[in-house]
Amino acid sequence: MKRFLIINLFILCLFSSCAISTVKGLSEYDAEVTEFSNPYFANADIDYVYKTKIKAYNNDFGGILIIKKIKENNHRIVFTTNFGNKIFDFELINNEMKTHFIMKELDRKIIINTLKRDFQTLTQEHNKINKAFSDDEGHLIFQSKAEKRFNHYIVNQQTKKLTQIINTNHSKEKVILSFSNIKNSIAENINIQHLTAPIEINISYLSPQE
Amino acid sequence: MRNIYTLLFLCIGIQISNAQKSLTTEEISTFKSAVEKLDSNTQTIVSDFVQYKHLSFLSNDVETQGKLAFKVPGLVKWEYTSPYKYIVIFKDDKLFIDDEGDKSKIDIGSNKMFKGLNSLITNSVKGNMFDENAFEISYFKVDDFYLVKFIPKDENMLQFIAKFELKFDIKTSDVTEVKMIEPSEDYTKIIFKNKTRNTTLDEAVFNN
Repeated sequence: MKRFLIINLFILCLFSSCAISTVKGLSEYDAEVTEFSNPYFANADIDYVYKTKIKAYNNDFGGILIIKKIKENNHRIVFTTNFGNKIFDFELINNEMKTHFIMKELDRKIIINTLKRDFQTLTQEHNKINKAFSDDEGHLIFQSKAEKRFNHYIVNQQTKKLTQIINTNHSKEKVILSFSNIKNSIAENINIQHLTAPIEINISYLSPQE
Repeated sequence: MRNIYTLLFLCIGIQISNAQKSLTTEEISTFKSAVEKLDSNTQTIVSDFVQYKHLSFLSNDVETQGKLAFKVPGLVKWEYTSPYKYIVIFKDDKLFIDDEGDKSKIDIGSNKMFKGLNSLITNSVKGNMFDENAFEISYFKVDDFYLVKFIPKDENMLQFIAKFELKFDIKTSDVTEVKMIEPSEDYTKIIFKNKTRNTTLDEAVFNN
């Protein structure tokens, strides 16, 4: 009897762990493609420069976020104050992150890991599709494995544009990245909202000066 | 072939050393007196500025523009106007920020980095930052300006700024350009334009 209960509990856990609210109740379909390509930081000729506001644990920071694709699977990510002083300077190469610089006050493993995950989710171009879903509101949802978590790429079926990336673990939504004002494969406004910590990042694209 | 390159590099080296001529002790003393005199006669400064952020991996420098206001003893307002609006006011050991309507205040009295940054910014605008205790300073003449290089002695500051370079107009002894060079050699360059001293400046300009 005890063994039966344990097995049942295990099965229950297994099922509930798959029930992420992002795709709960949605119908799965066979995607013809095996990879989802995130277009927003994929052009190596563009300097992606964004005015940035970060709210974290009741602190406000303003600055400039600069993202550049160096080559395939390699992005440089720099955050500076408005005066130009660097706050951090990271480089993502494949799935590894190299820290070129980080302010002493922020040089903590938990902060670096959170930033790494956010920027990896934001910039990673090639994403292997695990499962594909569709909802009643005209979205396709591509689920992709991201280390111990999942990324869900929400695409508007009509416009074919990526509108959100929802990062989850097995049971909970963790981070939502929302893209708006999309022009020529550049998302001019991006909101990064953490659901399990009071962290919110808003960035708006600065068009190159003539 | 290798010798030709060596010769070429030597020539370039000589060219650079010609372009940047060290000032004599006497020239340094005259120049410093002129800057200090200008500073002591200054009540206010207003100027436009263009800021360039240079990162080695970017195709273009990130360019921002704005206006600057200074009033003795230490009121400073940096107002970015393009391509976005952002205001920072240094006042009474506090930093008042207006980020497109989002207002905040930072007490810099307790924050060493901001305190250092504040005095550096104020002094670099005025030009008078010849503090031998804080910097290793060297003086050069390049074309029609003086170039002064400041290497911080403070270990904490050296982490994010390897060197400051200030350009002064030879005739007016006024700062025309500030360059902050990071250990990685990436830099921020601020060029002052339409700089005027001692115009009437209401205290209300520094209210957030």
